[in-house]
This record gives sequence, structure tokens and C-alpha cells, in this order.
Amino acid sequence: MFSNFLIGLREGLEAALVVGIIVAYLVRSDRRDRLVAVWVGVAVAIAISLGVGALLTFTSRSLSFTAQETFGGVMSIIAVAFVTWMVFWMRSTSHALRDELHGKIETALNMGAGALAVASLIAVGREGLETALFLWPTIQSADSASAPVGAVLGLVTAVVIGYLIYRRSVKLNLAKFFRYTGIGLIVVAAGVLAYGIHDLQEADILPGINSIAFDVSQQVPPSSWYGTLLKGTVNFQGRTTWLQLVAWAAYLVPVMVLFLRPQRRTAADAAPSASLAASR
Amino acid sequence: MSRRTVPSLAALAVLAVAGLAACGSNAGAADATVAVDGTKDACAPSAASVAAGRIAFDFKNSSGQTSELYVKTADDKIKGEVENVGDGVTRTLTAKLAAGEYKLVCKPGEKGDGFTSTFTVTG
Repeated sequence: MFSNFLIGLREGLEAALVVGIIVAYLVRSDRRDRLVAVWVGVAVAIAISLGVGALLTFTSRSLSFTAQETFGGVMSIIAVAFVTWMVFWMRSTSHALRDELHGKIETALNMGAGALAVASLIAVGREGLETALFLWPTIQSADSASAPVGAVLGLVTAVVIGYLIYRRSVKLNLAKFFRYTGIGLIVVAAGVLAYGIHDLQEADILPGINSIAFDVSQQVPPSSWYGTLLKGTVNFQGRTTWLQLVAWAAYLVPVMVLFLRPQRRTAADAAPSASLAASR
Repeated sequence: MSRRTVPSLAALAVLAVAGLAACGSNAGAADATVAVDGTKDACAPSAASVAAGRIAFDFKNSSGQTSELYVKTADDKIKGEVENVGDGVTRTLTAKLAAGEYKLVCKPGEKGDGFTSTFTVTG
């Protein structure tokens, strides 16, 4: 039961973190009316994942290994693009929010709220299929009834952690809110990129699956609670290839530097899209 | 919710499903089924060799921890993988295999090199 609990937790954690931050952002910017779109995105992603997962589990249809890994890899890279955009977009609206320039927030949110919904759809959908392909066989074939209960409890725990992050972050002052959630999301996105690269390496689309930079999977087993938390949040993989490591660093360092650089308070504030373009 | 959000979400969803269906789903029953018993110190297939075709490996994890199964070629190219197989759970890995030598790798605890059995596919 516990092993299934940890898998559920690991698979659900990252999506819960990202959605928790998106919800906190909308609440902080006083746009609770936009939450519906986010929840629709989450619901659509869950429904598709469970549907496709059931089709693959309960019928004789199967997805070729290459197709499944390519899907996982491409979804991950799309997710990185969305989260990166989101971090800089939130940053570009932060001054308007802090100074309560409601007109500007309005303009920016009209542009971005739909994209936030898509971002939450992708955050959930990315790991959703893999989670469904874990959940259905567990329900179908487990020796004991406690295994599926453990799996579901793991997912529920992930959602509760996402909720606690939300509760904690809405209480931060705005400057800290943008700083902490931005840093957190960039670290998560770097992990997602490395994960996507690994999928594409497994599918043999990218080379180097067997050139391992380090293997600490004995010291930090993914089935331990700490391995679960590291994998679930920042996608830490005990056995990491060189290509993954290089891609992770090549994303993390420049994006973090761009994000942490001091923000100019100029005309760019009036046009969030312009300051976004300048930040790239 | 903006009026454009729902249609664009729906379009994305349809695209994702269509993409999945189009690129490589295999319909129909497998040509052969091999049971693989993954214990805490072995990775034992019910048959050491089968004829080429679409092969379903029913991987039963009885190792006491979370495990995964890989089917690899002799030179370590991955032909199939199932991960996140909880203790006591059976999950099927389906792979289209041509004649040749393969490795079945079970990784109880999802760490290290795991346990390997050789597996032959005949032409």
C-alpha cells in the first residue's frame, strides 16, 4: 500500500504545485472569476488522461513505446515553454498589481487568463497519462484492495500539498509572492525539461541514453519518501544522462538570471507584452 | 471565463487525442503472451523464447517494492518499458519484436541496474 501511495504522491505533486500557484496568482490579482477556466483546464486534462489510460488498459489497444515516450517528451517541452512564459508574464504584471493600477491589470489578465487555463491543462495532462496508466492496472490487478486505496491517497495528498502551498503563498506580500513562486516554477520547469529530454532519449529521438553523468539511485532511491519528494517536485532523477544535465543547467542558469535581474520601472510597465519581449 | 478559452481547450484536447491515436497505437491481440515474474532478486519470464511479432509481457511485480520492466536489445536500445508498477500489481508491456536476442530487465526499487534475463525471439 505504501509503495502505491508514494507513486501517487510523486505523480501528482508537480501538477498540484503549478496549479496551486496559478490559483494563488488569480486570487492575489483579484480575478477569482478566471478560476473557472483553470478548473475546466484541470478537469479536461484529468478526463482525457483517465479515458486514454482506460482505453489502453482495458482493451487490447496499446501505445507503442516510441509513441508514448515521444508524447511524454513533447508535452514536457511544451509545459516548460508555458511555465517559462507564465513566470515572466506574472512578473511583468507585478508592478501594476503592487501599485493597484487596476486598468493595467485588466488589460494584462484579459490577455493571459486563457493561457493560464491552458497552462494548467498542460501541467496536469503532462503526467496525467502516465498516472492513469499506473492507476488503472493497480485497480485492475492488485493483489490486495489496499493498493488502489494507497494510490488514490497518494494523489489526494499531492492535492492537499498543492492546497497548502496555495494557502501559504496567498499570505505572502506581493513582492515575495512573485519572487518565491517565480523561483520555484523555474526550478520545476528545469526538471520538467530534463525529464522530457530523458523521454526523447528513451524513444531514441535524442542520443545518449546510456551516457550517464551520475547514478545515485542507490543512495536516493525513487521509492524512498525523500526520493519521492525530490522526483515529485523538481524531477530529480537518481540516474541522469549527460544530455539531461547539460539541458537542465543551460535552461536554469540563464532563465534564473533573467528572472532575478532588477526590474526597470519604465514605460514597459504600461505594456506588459513589451516588457515580456524585452525580457527574452 | 473568456469566450475563447473553452473552444481552445477543447481543440487542444482533440489534438492531443488524435495525435496519440495516429502515431503508433497498435490494435488487436498480441501474437504471444509471456508472463514475467519480478521478484526481489530475479526477473523470470515464463518462456525463454517466442516467435517474432507483437509480444505482450504480463509483468507481475512481487518484489515488495515499486518496480519497472524494460525490454532492451542486446546493445541496450529500449524496445519497451512499464514503470510505476506497485507491489502486487500486474501491468502489460506490449512490444513488436523482430527475431534476435533481447534482455528483460526488472528494477525492483527503481534503482541501479536491476536483474536481467536473456530472451530470444525466433524468426
